[in-house]
Amino acid sequence: MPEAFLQIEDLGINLSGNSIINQMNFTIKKNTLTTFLGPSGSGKTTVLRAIAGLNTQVAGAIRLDGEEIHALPANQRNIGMVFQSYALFPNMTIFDNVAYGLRVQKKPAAEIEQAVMEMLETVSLAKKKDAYPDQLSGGQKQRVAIARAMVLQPKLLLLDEPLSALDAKIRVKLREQIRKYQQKLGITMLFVTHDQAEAMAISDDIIVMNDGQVQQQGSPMDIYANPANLFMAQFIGNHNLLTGAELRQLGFQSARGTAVDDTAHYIIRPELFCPTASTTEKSCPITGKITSRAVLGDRIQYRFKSVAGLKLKVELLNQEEPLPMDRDVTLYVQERTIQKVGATNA
Amino acid sequence: MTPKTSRRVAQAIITFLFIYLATPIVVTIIYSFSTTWVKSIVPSGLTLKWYGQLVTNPEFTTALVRSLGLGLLTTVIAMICFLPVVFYANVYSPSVKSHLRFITVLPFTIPGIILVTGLIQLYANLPIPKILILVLAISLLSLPMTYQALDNAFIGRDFRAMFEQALVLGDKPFTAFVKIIIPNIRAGILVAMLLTFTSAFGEYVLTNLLLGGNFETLKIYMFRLMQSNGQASSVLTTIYFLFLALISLILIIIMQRYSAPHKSPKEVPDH
Repeated sequence: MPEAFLQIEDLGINLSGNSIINQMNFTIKKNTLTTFLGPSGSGKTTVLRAIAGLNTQVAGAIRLDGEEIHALPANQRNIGMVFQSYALFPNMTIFDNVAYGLRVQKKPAAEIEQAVMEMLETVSLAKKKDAYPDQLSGGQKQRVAIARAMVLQPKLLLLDEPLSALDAKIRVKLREQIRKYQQKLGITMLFVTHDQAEAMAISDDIIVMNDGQVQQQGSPMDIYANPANLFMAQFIGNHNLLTGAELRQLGFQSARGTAVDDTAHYIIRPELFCPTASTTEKSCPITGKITSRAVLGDRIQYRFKSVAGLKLKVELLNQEEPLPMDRDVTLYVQERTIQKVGATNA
Repeated sequence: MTPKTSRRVAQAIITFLFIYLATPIVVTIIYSFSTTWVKSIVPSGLTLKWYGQLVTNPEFTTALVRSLGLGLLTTVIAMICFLPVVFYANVYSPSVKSHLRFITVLPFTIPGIILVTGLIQLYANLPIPKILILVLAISLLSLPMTYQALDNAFIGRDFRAMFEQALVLGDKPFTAFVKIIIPNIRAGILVAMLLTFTSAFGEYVLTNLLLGGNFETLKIYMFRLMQSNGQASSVLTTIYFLFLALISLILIIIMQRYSAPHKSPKEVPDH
């Protein structure tokens, strides 16, 4: 497996005089699903459009499967794209929509028929082949859009927030399906989203972007557990972000065996608080009051205020009596679970 | 005044207005079928003679062909010039639209006589046929209607994504435009074409001032006829009126068919 299937090198993009992307670098591997994650306005879609060839006024290099594609127009790149608004052609049936690209390639009719029907079976829409896009639901439309892109067997499939117009339940179902198609057909996908849970759930690799820069790239686990910088620590999860001084105030002298650095930032993940001390690991007790609590079903979310006045987010499994709100409680955090922001050790 | 009486008054005013506006048309139509209608309340007899006379008159057929030609040529030019502009503005550069809107109302502000004087002074010494100047000028004058009709067609769908999707699927820009954009705005195109056609077909001021007697269109012929032959001119007016009514009817049908509130299908689970 070649390491870098898609390689972005020193990418620079200006839109109407403003520098949106500057000196961006990243690579993605073949047959993986990589998510492009970032807040709105971070430039995710801009990069995607540059890769698709919808914006060719870019600096730097874009290599796909060893080929320099940066100057090719969109219709010669062999890249598929699924738009947020589905972009189905309302004047054509579902079959004709999916067949569009194959017809452009002037494939024989029998071959087109077979490929399109196979693809519609894959996305469970074979029965709808004669319907028009306006007769489908949002989730069905997006599956047609995905089928239309996949039927061409593109080297790379770009998905630009494909689920954001759908309601929550369908979104979860469809993202699992997208992951299934990706693994079944062995397509390399680059998936743009601003939804962190979505990115975590389906990705092999996550690239987090902000201000036109790659902040961090890694597996979902890696991104969650080891934020590379302050932005990442704030962006990912609902971590408790503390300065070294605050950590010391809570009673910690060291984190993972190294002395707490007052100028650094540390995170304590809410789900790593324990109501009892560990017998094998070095734990530190934190005493304070519960100021609010919310039952989320499987978990209970607490707002905790330490004796020294530090506010912390705590999440415990909903398996025992909830913590009382009227008196002081003591929670324990294992010293080895405290992560220094920007440290690379896992 | 009770609501009932105020409604009666309103009805009376509307009825009066309707009679006031409809009478000349009705009388003209009856007059075009009458043998003679002098010094009497009703015509002395009905005939199709005047219609036969007009239709067989070569002056009429020439004028009709000229008007049709003018209408068609203007429509084609207006579509070729404005459709790509409206497409580009809507899909790629929405910020241009405010400037475009300003430009498109300009024809309302320039009186025909000033436009003609300007055009003649500008092009008098150039070897450009006056008919071409006329066609281009009329196309421009139709801009407010053409622009509005085309612009409305782009509301409601993400045409940019659709167009770009076709490109990503491997299509060339021109064929993508023909296969994806045009079929989805055809109602707007049709309305714009009919409006341009009728305005060019019935154009009088510019044609008369620019070409006058050398190029007698249906409208100019109609005015000339009015001064010489009352019956023939009422025949022509009737035909013209029916023609416009027909086009209006087609316009109404198109607009109703395509702008009916969009029924979104119910979200049905499909497994």
